Amino acid sequence: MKEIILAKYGEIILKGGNRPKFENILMKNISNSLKNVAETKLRLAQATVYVEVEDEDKMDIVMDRLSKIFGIVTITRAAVCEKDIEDIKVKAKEYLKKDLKDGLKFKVEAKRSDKQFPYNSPQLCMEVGGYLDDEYPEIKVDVHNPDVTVKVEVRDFAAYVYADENKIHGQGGMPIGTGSKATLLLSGGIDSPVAGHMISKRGVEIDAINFFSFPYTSERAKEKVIELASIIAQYTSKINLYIVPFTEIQLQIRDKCPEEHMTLVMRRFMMRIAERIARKNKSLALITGESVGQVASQTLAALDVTNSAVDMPILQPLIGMDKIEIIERSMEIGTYETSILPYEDCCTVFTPKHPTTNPKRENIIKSENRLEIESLIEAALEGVEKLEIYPK
Amino acid sequence: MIYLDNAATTKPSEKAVNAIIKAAECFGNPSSLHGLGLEAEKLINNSRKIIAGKLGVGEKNILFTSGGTEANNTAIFGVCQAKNKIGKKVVTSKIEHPSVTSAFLELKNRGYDVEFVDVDSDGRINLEVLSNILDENTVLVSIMHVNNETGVIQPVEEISGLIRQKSPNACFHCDCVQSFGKIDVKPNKMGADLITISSHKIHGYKGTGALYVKDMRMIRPYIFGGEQQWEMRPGTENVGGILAFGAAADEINIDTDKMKLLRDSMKEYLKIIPDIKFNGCDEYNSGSILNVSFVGIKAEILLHALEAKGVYVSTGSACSSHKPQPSHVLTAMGLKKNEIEGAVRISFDSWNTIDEIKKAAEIITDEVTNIRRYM
Repeated sequence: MKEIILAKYGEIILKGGNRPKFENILMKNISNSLKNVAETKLRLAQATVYVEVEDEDKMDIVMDRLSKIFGIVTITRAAVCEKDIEDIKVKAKEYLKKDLKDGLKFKVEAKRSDKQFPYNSPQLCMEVGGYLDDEYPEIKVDVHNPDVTVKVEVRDFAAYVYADENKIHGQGGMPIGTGSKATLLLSGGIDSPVAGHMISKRGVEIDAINFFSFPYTSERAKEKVIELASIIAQYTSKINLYIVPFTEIQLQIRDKCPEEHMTLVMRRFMMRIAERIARKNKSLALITGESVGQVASQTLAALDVTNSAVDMPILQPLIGMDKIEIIERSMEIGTYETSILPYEDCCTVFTPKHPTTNPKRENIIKSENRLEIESLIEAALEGVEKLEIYPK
Repeated sequence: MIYLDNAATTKPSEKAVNAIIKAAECFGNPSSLHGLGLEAEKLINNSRKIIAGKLGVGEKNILFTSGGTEANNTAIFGVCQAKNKIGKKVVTSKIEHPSVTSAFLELKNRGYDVEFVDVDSDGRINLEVLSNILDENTVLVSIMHVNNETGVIQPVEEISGLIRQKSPNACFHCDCVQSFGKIDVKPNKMGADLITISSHKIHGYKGTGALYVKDMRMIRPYIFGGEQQWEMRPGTENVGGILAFGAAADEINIDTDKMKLLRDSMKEYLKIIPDIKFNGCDEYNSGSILNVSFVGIKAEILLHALEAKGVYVSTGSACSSHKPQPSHVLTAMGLKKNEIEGAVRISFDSWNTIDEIKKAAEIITDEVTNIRRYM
C-alpha cells in the first residue's frame, strides 16, 4: 500500500499576499533538509506539503527531519487511496489494522476539499465508519469519547486515511529565511542554545559567536560548542560559528579592573565584539540567553550595563523563564546532554567571589577605561576563526 | 613536543608499527586450516613466546585480550565464577584503576562481600589492614603492582605472603599495566596467580593486552565462542595488535637508573616553585611517574597552558580526567582538596632525554608562575 507523509503548516496561511513567498522558502528548507537523507518528491497544496518517500525504510528519518523544520505544525503518515469510496474503505481497514485493536472505541472524521467527490463529509463518515464497524466487530463506534479517530481527507491529488493519534507535532513557528539574520552569543551552557532555538523558530537565520580562552578553557570545551551548534543546525540547516580568542582581554581585565567589576567589563567586551561581527555579516540583532536574576550579571542593573555597550537590538527570549523551564526546553531540542558536559567554559574561570549585583554604568565604564578597549577588540577580531557547522 | 604522559599511552615503536603492517600482509585467520592461517598462527605464537619469556612463565599461561580493562575483568569475574561455591569475599584496594574498582563494585551489586583496603599517606597499601581483612572465605585479592597516578610500587611479595598464610583459598591478581616494561615483573617471584599487562604502555598498540593465569582452572571464561585460546578467551585473534605487542615486548630494556634520573631531575628542577607538594614516595617508585600538586591552581588549566608550549602531561589518570571528580587515589592518600585540584601527573619513558626534562621543567615553572598571577 502506498504511504505518504502529510506535513501541515500553520501561521504561513495568515500571510495574505506574501503567502507564496513564505511557502517557497518552506519548500526550499524541506528539500535542503531531506536532500542527503532520502529520495523524496515534494508537492504543496491546501496548506499541506505532501512528501513521497521512495524508500519505505527512510520514512522514520524523514519524519524526524520534518519534525525539526520550523513552520510545520503537524506531521503524519497516511495511506494514499484512489478517490473512490470502495478503495478508501478497503485501504482504511488494511492500513489501520494495528490501530483498531479489540475493545477500542473509534469514530471517523472526514474532510472533502474536492467538491467533485460524490460523497459529502457526513456521508463519508457514515460509509467508512459503518464499513469498519462491520469488518472489526470487536471495536465500537463512539463519536464523543473515541480512543481512535480515523481521518479521511479527500483532497486534490488523492484521498488519504490515517489515525489522528499517530500524528506528531512539528516545531511550529516560521520557516528559516523569512526573518533576516541575528547573531547568537553561544557559550557552552544550557541557556544560550535554547535562546538561539527560540529566535530561529521565528524564521530568523542564525550566526553564532563563541569566546575562547585557551588555556583557561580547553579544546574540548570548543568541541562542545561546535557540537551544540551542530544540534541547533538541525533546525536551521547551517550555522556560521565565529570563535573569538578572548584570553588576552580576560587577563587584562583581571590585571587592571576591580575584581567585583570583572564579569560586567568582560560582558561589555563580548557584546562589542559580537556587534562588530554581526554588522560585518549583515546580522540585524544579537541574541543572548539571559534570564532576569539568574546570576549576578543578570540583574536588571547588570543587564543595563551590559546591553548599553552596543547600539543594536538584543534579543533575550529567555528573559522571563525559570531555569527549570529552560532546562525542559533544552531537553526537548536535544542540547541538554551536551550542555552539561563538565568542560570549563570561560565564564566559570574568571569569576569574582563577590560580583556586584547593583552596578552603575559610570562605575563600570570607569573601570573599563583603564584598558585599551579599541586595540584589544581589534586584536581579538583579527584572530577570529570562522567555522561552518552543519546539522549533526 | 615533549611527551611526558607515558602512563596514559606511549608512542608505538617502529618495530611495533612494522609488525602491524606485516599482519596486514599475512591476513589469514589463525584458525583457518590452510597455509595462510597457519602462518598467522605461527606469528601469534611467536608473540606469545616473547611475552611469556619476559614474564618468565609458560606460553600456555598467556591469554591475549582487548586490553588491560578486559584482562582485569576476565581475572576478577573469571576467578569469582570458578570459586563460586567456595566463598564470596573479595578484597581490593582503594587506589586501583577503574577497570578493577568498577568490577568490584559490580561484584558488590551481585551480593559479594567486598573489602577496599586503605593506603597510607605515601600511597602504599596498609599491610596491617589487609592482614586483618584476609580470612579463609576470601577467594580473590586484586592489588596493583605500580599505581597509575603516583608510580608507587606496592609491596606485592608481602601481600602474596599474607594471602598464602591467611587465605589459602584465594587467588592473587595483580594489575601490572604500569609496571610491565618499567620494572621487573615476574609473577612467580611476586607470588601472583594472575597478572594483567597492556601493549600500548610499552610502545605497542592500543587494543591489545594480556592476562597471565598460573593455572587455567583458576578461572572460568568471561566470554564464550570458538576454540581460540583454549576456549578461555575465544574470538578471532587481533593478529596485528598481538604482533605489535610481541615486537614491543621484545624491545623492553629496563633501565631503572635512567628512569630514576629523569624523575629525580624533574623533581629537583621543580623544587624551586613555592607551594608545591610531591605525592607518593621516592623510596618505592617505579621511576616512571612524578605526581606533584601545584597548590592553588587548577591542574587542567596548567595542562592546557603546557600543551600550548608543547609539553604534554596529565591530571589524575587519563581515563577519569573528563570527569570533574577528585582523584580517588589522592583522596585515599589523604590529600587536601586544593592539593588534589592542583595535582599533575608527569610520566616518563626511557625514550625521554635529560634535556627534555630540563626544558619541560623550565616551561612548567614559567606557566605555574603565569597562572598563579591570575588565580
